[in-house]
Amino acid sequence: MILDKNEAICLILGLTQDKIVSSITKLNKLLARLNLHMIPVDIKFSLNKFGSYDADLTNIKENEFFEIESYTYKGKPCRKVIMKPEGKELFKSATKKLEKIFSEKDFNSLKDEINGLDKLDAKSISNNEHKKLLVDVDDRTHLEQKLNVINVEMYDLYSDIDKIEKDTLSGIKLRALIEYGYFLAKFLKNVRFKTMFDSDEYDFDANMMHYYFIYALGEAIPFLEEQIKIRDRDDKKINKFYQFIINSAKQEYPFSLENKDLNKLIQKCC
Amino acid sequence: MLLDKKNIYAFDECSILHQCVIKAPEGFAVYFRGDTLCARYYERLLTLLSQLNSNNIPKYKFVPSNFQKNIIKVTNQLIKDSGVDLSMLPNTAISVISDQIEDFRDKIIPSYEDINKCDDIDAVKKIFESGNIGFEIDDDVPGDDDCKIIAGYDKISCEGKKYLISDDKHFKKNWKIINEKYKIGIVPESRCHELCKSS
Repeated sequence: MILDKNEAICLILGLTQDKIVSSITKLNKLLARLNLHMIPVDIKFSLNKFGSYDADLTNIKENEFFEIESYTYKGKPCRKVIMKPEGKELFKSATKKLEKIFSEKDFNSLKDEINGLDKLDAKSISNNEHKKLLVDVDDRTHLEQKLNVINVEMYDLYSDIDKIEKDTLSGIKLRALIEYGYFLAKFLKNVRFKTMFDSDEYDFDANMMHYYFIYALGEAIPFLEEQIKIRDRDDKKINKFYQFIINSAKQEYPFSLENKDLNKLIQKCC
Repeated sequence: MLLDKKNIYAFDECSILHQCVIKAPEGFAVYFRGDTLCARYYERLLTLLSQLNSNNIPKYKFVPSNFQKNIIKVTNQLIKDSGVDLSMLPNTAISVISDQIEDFRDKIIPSYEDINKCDDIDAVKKIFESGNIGFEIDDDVPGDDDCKIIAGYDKISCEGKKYLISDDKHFKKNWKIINEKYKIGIVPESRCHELCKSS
C-alpha cells in the first residue's frame, strides 16, 4: 500500500477546510507530515534547513486533479494549490486505500492535524517537525539516546519472536515486522548514524526515511510489546506499521526490500 | 471438446491460489533460485482457465472461505516447492510472499461464482465412514470443511457433470467414492488440462 504523488496531494487538499493549500512550501510540509502518520507515500523527501523537502514539488504543474493559482502576498509571488472535481475522486480512492491501515480514529487524528497545521505558516510546521524527528544538531544527544533505546527494545522483542504463532496471517506479519524492525534499527545505529553523533554538522540532504523510521520504530515498540502477548490482535494497526516500516522504502533507500544487496547489508549491521 | 457449458467447474481455494505467480523479494533474492515462484502445475491450471474463459464458462469457488489457512498453506507450499528451506527463510520474506498471495486472492476471487458450503455434513461423513475405504490413517479422513464442500456441491443441480479441481489429498484419495456417491469428478491439478482435450 503506497500513495502516489497525486493521491497524496489530493489527500492533503481534501483534508483541508477549503480544499486549498496556500503555498507550495506549505504543501511540501503537509505532505511530509503523512510520514509521521505512517502513510507510505511515493515522494522522496530529503533534509534541508527547514526539514523535509522534495525538490520536485517546487516545479509542480497543474494537472487534471488540481490547479495552481499565482498570487501576491506581502509583495512576494506565491502559488496556491486548489483541488479540482477530479481530485475529489482521487481523494476518495486515497482514503479507500487508507482503510487498510487506518481506523476511524486514526483518520480523524490525521484530519485534525492537517487542518491545524494548515492554519500555521510553513516555518511553524517545520519547527514542529524538527522537534518530533530530532533533526537539529542541538537534539543530537536525544536522537542518539532514542536510537540506543530503540535498539535495546527491538532486541528484546526479537528475542521473543518465537512466541508468535506462524499459523495466522497476523502472526506472520507481526513476526516480519519485529524481525525487519530489529535489523532496520541496527542499520540505523551501526551503519547510517555510526559516525554522525561525533559531528556537529547539520545532516543536510539526508534521506528523511532515516528519521521517519526512527520515529516510526519509537511509535511501534510499545504497541508491538503489547501485541506479542495476545492472539486477538489489532490487525489494522499492525498493517499500518508493517506497510510503513517494511514497504515504504524504495530502491534508492539502502535498507529496502528492493535493494538486491539487502542481505549483505543485514550481515554488515550485525 | 470436453469443456461443456452444461458442466460445472469448481475449484478449491488452494487451486485458485495456485494460479498466482509470486515475485521473489529482491532483497532476499539470495535465498531463491529464480525471480519467481509458482505452483508445480501452474501452466496446466492456466490452460484450463484460459479455455474456460474463452468459452464463457463460469468458474466456481466454495464459500465461506478459509482464506487465512489457505493463504498460509499455499505460501509454505510454494516456498518448499521452490527448494527453499522454510526454516532458513527470514520471516519478512515469508510475509512478503503471503502478502502477494493475499493481494492476488483479493483481485481474482470476485471472478469466481459462489457455491455455498453446507453445514449439514452427517450424511457425507457417514458415507465416507461406511465406504469400505479403510481409514487406517487419521490424516486420510476428509475433514469437516472437505465434507461441507461435498455436501454443498451435492445440492447444486447440474445438467452435465460436476468437476472439482483440487490437489487436496483427502479429495484425491477418496475420488472413487465421491464420484460414485455424488457424481463429482475430482480432478487433480496435474490432470486438469486434460479437461480441455478433445475426447
